[in-house]
Amino acid sequence: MRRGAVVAILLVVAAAFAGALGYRSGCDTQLRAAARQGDVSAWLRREFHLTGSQFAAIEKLHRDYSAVCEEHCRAIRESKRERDALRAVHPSDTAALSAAERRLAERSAECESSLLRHLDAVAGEMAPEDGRRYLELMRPRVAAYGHAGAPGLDLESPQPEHAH
Amino acid sequence: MKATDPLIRTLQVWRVSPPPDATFRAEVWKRIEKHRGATWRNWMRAPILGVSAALFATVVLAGWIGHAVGRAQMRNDREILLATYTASLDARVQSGLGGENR
Repeated sequence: MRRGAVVAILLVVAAAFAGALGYRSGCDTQLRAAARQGDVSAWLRREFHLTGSQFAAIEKLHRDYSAVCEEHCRAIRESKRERDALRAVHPSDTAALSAAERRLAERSAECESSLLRHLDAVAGEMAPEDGRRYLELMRPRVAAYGHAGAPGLDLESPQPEHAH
Repeated sequence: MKATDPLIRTLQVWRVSPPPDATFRAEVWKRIEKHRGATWRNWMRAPILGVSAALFATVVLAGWIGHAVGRAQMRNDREILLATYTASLDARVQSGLGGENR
């Protein structure tokens, strides 16, 4: 009976060891660390095999785009505020409301096309295969946002207020 | 306890005469044989196939489960980073527009 228990313990230890090895082989520890720290740059660099110069060029593109993004953000907020105010004050004025909705939709569409152009520019700095993969990954997300909100956004984590 | 005690006297005259058991010797040898060589090594040797199979199955299953958990963790981490990255670029996310405007 005691020996049976020893064998059982050995099996449990072997299972724990094999499980830990399997986990390590399946998990990307650097990706894990980047996700824990919210280090998007480290992930981008690693995921798309960026060289130092490619990374610097992409960082610059992102920095330049942040001003454009900020402008879009301001415009969308403004249109949204106008639409919401109209809804609250003149809910029966359908013509004005639909005009406000249209303005908001236009600004959202401008933001989307501007972002897609930015993504193209970023992909252009990458190696062709990585650039293609980057666009395949990003384009559907950007396109899907207008329909369903940010795809895959972790709602448990605090929402970034504004990244500029 | 004195030699005159009734218990002592009873025990002095008490005789046990059990009926002879023809299988007694054989039973004793059977028990001896049963435990002969019951060492750890012999115990392991006997069910070696079973123990090996259990060990192999345990290691393979645990390794596979660990690997699957690791892969799922990696996908999850990647998804979080991708969502964070997208959110940092998309003014619609930052302005809280959501999917309301399509």
